[in-house]
Amino acid sequence: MFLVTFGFLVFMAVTIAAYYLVPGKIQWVVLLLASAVFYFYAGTPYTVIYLLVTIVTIWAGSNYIDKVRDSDPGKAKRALIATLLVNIGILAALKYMNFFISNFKSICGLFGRGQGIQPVHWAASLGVSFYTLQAVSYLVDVYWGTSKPQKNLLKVALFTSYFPQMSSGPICRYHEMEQLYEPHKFDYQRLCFGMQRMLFGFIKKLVVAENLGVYVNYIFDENANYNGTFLWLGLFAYVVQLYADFSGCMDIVLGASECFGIYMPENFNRPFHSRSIQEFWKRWHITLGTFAQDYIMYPILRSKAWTKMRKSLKVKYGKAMSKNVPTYLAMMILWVYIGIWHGGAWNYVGEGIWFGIVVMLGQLLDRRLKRVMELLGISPEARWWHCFQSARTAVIYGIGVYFFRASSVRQALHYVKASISPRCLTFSNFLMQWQVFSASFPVKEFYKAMICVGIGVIFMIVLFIFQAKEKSFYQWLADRNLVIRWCILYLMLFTIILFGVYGPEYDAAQFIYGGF
Amino acid sequence: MKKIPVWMGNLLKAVFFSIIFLMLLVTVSYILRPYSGSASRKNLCGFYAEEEDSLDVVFIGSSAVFTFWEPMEFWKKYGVASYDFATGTMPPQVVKYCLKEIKKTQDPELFVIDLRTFNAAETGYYQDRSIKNMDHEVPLRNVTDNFKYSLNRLQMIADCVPDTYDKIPYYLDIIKYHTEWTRLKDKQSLLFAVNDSHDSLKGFKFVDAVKEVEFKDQSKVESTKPLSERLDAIFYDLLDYCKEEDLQVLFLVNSYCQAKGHKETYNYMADVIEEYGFDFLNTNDYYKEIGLDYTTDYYDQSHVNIFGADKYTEFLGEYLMNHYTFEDKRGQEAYASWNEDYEVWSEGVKELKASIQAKIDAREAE
Repeated sequence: MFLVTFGFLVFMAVTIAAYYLVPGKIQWVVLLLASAVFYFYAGTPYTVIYLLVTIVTIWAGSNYIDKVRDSDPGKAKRALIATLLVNIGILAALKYMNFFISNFKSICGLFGRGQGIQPVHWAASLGVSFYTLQAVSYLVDVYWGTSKPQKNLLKVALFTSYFPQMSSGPICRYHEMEQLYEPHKFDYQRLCFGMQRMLFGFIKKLVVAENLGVYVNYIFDENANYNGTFLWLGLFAYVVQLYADFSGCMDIVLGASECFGIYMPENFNRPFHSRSIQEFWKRWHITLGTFAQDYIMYPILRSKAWTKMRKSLKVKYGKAMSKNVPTYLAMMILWVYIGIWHGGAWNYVGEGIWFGIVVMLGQLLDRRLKRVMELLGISPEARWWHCFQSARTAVIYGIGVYFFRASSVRQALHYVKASISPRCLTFSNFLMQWQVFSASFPVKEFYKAMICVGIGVIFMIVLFIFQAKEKSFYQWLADRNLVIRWCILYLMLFTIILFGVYGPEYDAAQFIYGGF
Repeated sequence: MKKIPVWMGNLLKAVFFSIIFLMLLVTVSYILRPYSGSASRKNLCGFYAEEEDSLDVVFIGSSAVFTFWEPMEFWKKYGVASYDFATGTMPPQVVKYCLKEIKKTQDPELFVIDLRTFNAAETGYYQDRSIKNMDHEVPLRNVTDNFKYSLNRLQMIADCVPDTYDKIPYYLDIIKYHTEWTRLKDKQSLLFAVNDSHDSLKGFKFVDAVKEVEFKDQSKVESTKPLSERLDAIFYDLLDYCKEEDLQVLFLVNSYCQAKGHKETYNYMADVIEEYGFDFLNTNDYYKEIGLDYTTDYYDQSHVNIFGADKYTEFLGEYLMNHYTFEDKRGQEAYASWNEDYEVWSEGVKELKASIQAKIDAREAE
């Protein structure tokens, strides 16, 4: 992954220097050129054609829609649909074609046909899942009249391919990214803050996620057959790895962007502080959740079909049903979408359904639970209750993660079963599995890795404490005297250098979300 | 007093921050470099610890240097300060950069360059034997990971490490060794914090072993065999450099179980060396004069043990004294530490000889 290479640091240094050396009016050109170079190094160069198609179609589509929207709404709608079809079509072809093919093959198999159907091997363009959603939001915003179209094709190109967001998002709206085209004066403190945030990202990714990854992969190996408490430990480690990996990537991305004075939307807000899974998804991969809400769920709820459904349900089953059924149905579509966004496989669909069911049950049982709490005299504000809710949310999320981690629904269900089977939860079973686990590699290396993880987690906790107090760690650091500030920065740098997983033996692991 | 502008202050802060960071990085990097069992690290760090302009003779080469030449015995007998600047299976392409590195702190009367490194270059000794020694990571890193960070080191890596390799972990070796952070609390590792650490053996390596080897007399072989195109270019480049720098160099072949093909290559090299006006000596031609006993003086086909090294050093020492001029420095204040080092050396040699003798006795008893 290019973001965690020495080459990326050199690339950033050169780009920052060029960005602040050119006149403000053409700073965006530097970013566009840098994005092209980034794509060349980090992606598969020939797949740039898909990106170019997206750029040209959304530029032409958005300007046409804006031109005819008031005079001929029908034409505008048709243009929107056509442009969306092209872009979503590319995404579907690149990401879901094999999913369609394998399902089609299975159906044909029922009739004794389809033996000759083979999967395709099409390379996806870098960040296709992220920039396509950006393109969709831009087009729809223009259609709705909430955004003005960008006349300059190259500026649209920059919005679509801005390099920090290309590997793992965040999914930005056009109005949030208009700052790309504004001039930015050099600001020493802003640059320091950006680089410091990148440092935190490297700690999360290289020190925590990568050190855990080796052992998590081992536990979740399909042939390993771990179960019970050991599997729970593996799941806990994987959740920490996933968070460190994705939020670390976001810190690198947002920090890199901040160096140019461009602030992208946050994707994480202490998700494990959430009291419910619904709240969790408002704090985890925030931009995907808000995209799905604004461009999938709300339009569905406002659609004619849903209005019609509501009316007919009201007549037949009453007011409550007419309100709940269409809402839950729209919610389920949203969750299935969020699941399948991660990839074309049934386990991702299963993940989405799992979260959808949990959220629906949460809403359905909300009133009853509140009544039970009142009867038991539990204050919702009590700290222990908050802790309990957060732990419960983490466990529910963890079960969803089984679907995310597994290679199939069957595998995911096996993990769930193996985790809760009473005979697997005994201490003797745990010890037996530990023996198998520790015999597979040098235990000394395992302990060393866990020390590294522990050190990295300390930094994550520090950051968490600052976030909880809604204070900026970077501002706090800037307010310290030079000696303390530099000592902390050297500590961070050497934590990465000494405890990070990188170098010749390091198989440049992808960011987990970089694969989407 | 005029106040420093904000931008200037920030620039200065950034520069100082970076300088301190680099200093810390270099120090940590030196500590993490592997030392365990590595004669290469001991030898090169020991060289850096030598007083400036204190050496009269520097030997450059591979294990064929650090197991053969006993600098302390030469000192004891003639009062001449010499050092084995040698690393395991030193690739021939780095020899020029070793000369440059030595010249930074020393101005010896004589450089002695081991030519066996050329004959070992194109065979494979390590793990994947299809990789030539001169291109293998281990011999390359024996040199690159023991040099101090410098422009010469950068140049050496750029020129000597194959272009197909990822050179960044060679330039900045902490990338390879950072996982060994437990060394940061290891007292022995901390001794290498500035990449110099005094070596009382002056680059020599004690090997506690003995083996009877088969000797073949190739002294009558007079035919020649040229080097490969690549080695030839390296060889001529080295000679050109020595000529340009006007160095006094003796090109040397140590006594080992020499194959006919090797001898032919040395004959070829000898002719070229002669053309350049440098000295050449193949000690294999003088095995009788050296008096090597092939049943007790070797520990493998290519290396002598301490008994063989004693005989070899005595022969070569006499040769050097007869052909070159050196000042006897025994008794000089600046060389007092050499006498102390000799005490350490002789203690070690005593124990080593007793151990090897026991092995010989045990073998004979069988």
